[in-house]
Amino acid sequence: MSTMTQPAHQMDKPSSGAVLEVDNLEVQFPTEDGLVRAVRGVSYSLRPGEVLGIVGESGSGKSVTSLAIMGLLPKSARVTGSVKFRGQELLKLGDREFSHIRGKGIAMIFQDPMTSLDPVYKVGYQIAETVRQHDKNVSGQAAQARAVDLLELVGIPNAKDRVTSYPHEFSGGMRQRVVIAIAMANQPDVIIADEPTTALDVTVQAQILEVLDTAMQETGAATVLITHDLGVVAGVADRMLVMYAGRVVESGPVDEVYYEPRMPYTLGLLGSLPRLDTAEKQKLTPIKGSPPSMVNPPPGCPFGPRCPLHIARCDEAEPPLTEVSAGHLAACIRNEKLEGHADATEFFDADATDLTAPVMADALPGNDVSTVATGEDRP
Amino acid sequence: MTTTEQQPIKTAPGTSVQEPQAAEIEREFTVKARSQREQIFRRFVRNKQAMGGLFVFLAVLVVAWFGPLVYGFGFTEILTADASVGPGTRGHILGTDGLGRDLMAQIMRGIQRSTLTIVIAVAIALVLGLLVGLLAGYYGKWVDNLLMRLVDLILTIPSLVVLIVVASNFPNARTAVGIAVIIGLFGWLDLSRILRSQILGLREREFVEAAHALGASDIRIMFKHLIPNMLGSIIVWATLTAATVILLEASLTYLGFGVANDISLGRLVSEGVSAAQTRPWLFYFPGLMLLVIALCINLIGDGIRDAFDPSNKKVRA
Amino acid sequence: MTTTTPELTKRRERPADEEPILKVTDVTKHFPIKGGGLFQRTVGQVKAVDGVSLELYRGEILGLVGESGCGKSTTGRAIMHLQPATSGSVLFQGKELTGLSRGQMRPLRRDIQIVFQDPYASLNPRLPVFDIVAEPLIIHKLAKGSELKTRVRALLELVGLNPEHANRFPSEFSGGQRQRIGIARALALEPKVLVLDEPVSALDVSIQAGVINLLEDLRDRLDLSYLFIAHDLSVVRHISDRIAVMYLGWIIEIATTDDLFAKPSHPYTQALLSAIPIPDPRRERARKRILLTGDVPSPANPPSGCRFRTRCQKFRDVLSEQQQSKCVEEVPLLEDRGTGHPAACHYAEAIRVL
Repeated sequence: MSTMTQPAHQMDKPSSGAVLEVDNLEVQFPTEDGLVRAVRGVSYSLRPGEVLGIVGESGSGKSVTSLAIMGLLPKSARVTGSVKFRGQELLKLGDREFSHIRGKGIAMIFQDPMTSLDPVYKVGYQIAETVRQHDKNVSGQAAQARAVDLLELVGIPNAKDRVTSYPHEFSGGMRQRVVIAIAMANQPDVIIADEPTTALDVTVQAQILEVLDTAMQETGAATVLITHDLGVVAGVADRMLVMYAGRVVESGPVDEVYYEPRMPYTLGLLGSLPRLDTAEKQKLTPIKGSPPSMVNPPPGCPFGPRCPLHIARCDEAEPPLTEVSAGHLAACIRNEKLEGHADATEFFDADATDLTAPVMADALPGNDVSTVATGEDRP
Repeated sequence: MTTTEQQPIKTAPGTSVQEPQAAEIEREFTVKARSQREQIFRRFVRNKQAMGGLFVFLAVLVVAWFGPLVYGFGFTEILTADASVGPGTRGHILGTDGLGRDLMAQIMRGIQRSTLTIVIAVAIALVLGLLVGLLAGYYGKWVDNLLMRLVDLILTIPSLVVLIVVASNFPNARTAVGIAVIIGLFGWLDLSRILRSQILGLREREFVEAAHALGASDIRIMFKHLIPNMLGSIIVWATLTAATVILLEASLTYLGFGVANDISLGRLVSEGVSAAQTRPWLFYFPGLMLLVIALCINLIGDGIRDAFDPSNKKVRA
Repeated sequence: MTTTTPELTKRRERPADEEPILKVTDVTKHFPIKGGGLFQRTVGQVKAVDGVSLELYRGEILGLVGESGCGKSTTGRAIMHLQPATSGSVLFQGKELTGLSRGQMRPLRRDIQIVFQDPYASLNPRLPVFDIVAEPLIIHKLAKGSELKTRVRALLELVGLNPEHANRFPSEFSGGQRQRIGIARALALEPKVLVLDEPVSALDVSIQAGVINLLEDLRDRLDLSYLFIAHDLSVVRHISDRIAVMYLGWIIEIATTDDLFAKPSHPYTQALLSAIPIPDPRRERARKRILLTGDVPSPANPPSGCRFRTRCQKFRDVLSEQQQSKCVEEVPLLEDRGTGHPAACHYAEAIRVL
């Protein structure tokens, strides 16, 4: 297709205005234990310039989702659904065509800067390389100059000298700045940042979040920020998705989700966080149990066995995402029970130190939600 | 909220707990469907070559040990009337040698002695390799230096040469057991290296640190914490060394320094070489047996190694 | 197992002149850097811990926080005599631990135990859980046979696990459960002090809360003292009575939890508090961040005088040249400079950050 050679910003914008549209994305991995359904129907749209936070704990599928969007999953992975970047379907593209978009239309920032930078090339070279790869007309000198500019932009002192340094000569925080510089180099429309600060100390994290903000301002890119840190999302994102067991279970404007969560998992998650700013000690509400097996997810709501609002009807089918208020969706058939109640201690047991039965309302005797466990012998 | 016996489970207001405690906690096990051992076992069983090798090897052992109970001829019986007959004549399944001794009986006996050699040699090498590897890896520093330089030194000499020199100095040791001991005494070198490097890594693992923190003695740490975590390497080494042992024994005997006062597959092969043109069964049958056994052991060993190694890329949906 | 009756043991009031159960004075831990060449000369020292002093009283939880490279884990291990201190004194119940041989240390290990960070690495994957928890009792010959079984079962129940699962292997448990196994193991000898080295950092957030609640519960019921080492200040705030903040091998501020958060006096503490994100969008957006310059210096070559000066926002923005020279030349001692608690800064000043 001839659009491959055009700079990304000259492509037609789709009428909906969304720069990235994900529709019913599913990702499955064949493994020894069976087919792991890591992502089970994720949909969202990203508007130009906005910051979308995706939060979830381990096993929620949040990273796999973005790797699928970027076409970076191993060959054995089966990806279905639709991912449209500026109206163009990405999942149908071969690796060659995809590589035109990667780094230019969509840039990615990974968690570990040591492995995302090539240790045998100088950092200036790596930045210049990404510039020249997407625009063959740029001369070596011009690319190098741009590299220096970018390094200054991301706050690396003595950029002119440091442009000829190798990655191992930088600290973790500095390396991540270089990674951000590379991401910015071609004015991408979308930046996907996958746990960009998780491996960094908190004071360095604060610095990097500033740099990320600079990058977003400079490029005008829409950003997808994936993290498990609810504090980071609170400060940076406009909208957010909460993922659990491979699906989106709540989405909406950040303020709404934090102050008026309507999915019990979100509520429990927020309640389990110790707060830095509250003077009196508040009770932490742990969520009992563990996330379900992704090999054979049970038919009903995957959060069911751990949910304080669980009833028999929850196990019949997986709750769809329903709109609970403007732009705010939640996947819970009893979400109205949470309306007006943002205190997790009302529902979750705050003194819980053990792993015994999550409290069940209206549980039928002998109610066997045990398919959540993976093949252990039932007593 | 307490969890010792006879404590009622506190619940949030307005709800009640219906299920017994034990059933609920089962749900916690959402991590692995199968234990590690099962997974390793499963991987091995799926490996067709390894299973084939195992099957054939076991068949050979069964025949070698139970065969003599049903077979018509003993391995020392000399039947001059039947001398040098080919396979199939007068009940001699594989023929006889120049003196009229039945080849099948001799091969069965040879397999028995050769497998005994393997077991003894591997056992001796295992103990020595463990000892040196543990000392070098665990204590490090000068102990490690000394032991590993010693190992390096011995390794510079080809093993066959070492064995020949030692064997020729002990003419009384030229039995299956004696040769086994000699091979074992020099067969531990690579194991000690393997274990040492594994221990260097394991030593730093947190569970070893935890054992230190509890006050565990060095011996305890070595036997309870280090060795069990090296079982994979040890088993793989043992099977692959077994194959090497049997071939070493054959080579030694062929060269005239190995088993002389006993039957072994190596001896049968070396004595059969001269008859290879005129009475081929005396050479090829023992030779084939040797090959088959070595091959089977290798396949089994490879299978075990692959079963332990989770980076096996084969994906089954 | 001396479990107390179900009512919460009342936290006892500490008498004013009570001796601390653990008294650490000027502990250092240096790691030699070996140079090249055949003989491996020592060309330098990594001063991971460079003069740490602290006190832990019976029944209290002292948090030890800092970022990577500050030496907090090394301090914990030095106190535990796992990586014995290069110099300094560790007095445990009045007894000097530094300089003890392994054999002499062994009986003392019954009173001070450690819980590790990584639930996946701190348990021997080849031992069933029963053996893991029973090991301390076996090593110290405290129980055998059916009594051993009873005690191990009681320990597993204490941490919220089903004793029926004692014959399973660690790989069959989740991260949170494995951490509980590690806690059960540490408690088997009925220690008085637990050193916890990042006990919840490797766990998912919703699981962390359960383990934190458990640790609080255990402290109340068993009258334990904790040295709680962590980098996550939110967690430390929640659980600790007092907090010590470390930077590059030093303690730079130490205070009760309330004081530290209400009146942080050292610029590093202030920057740290301002950097930590709060899961509250409105507050988070309104916050003014204090940003530090550059990176943590190498512990092999720390800056002269005050170690923090190369990154310090006060040094950079507020101090006059004359004041700065004091930071360069003079090492600030950890003492109270009028803010109510010790801080290692010549110009310590309490600022409200949160």
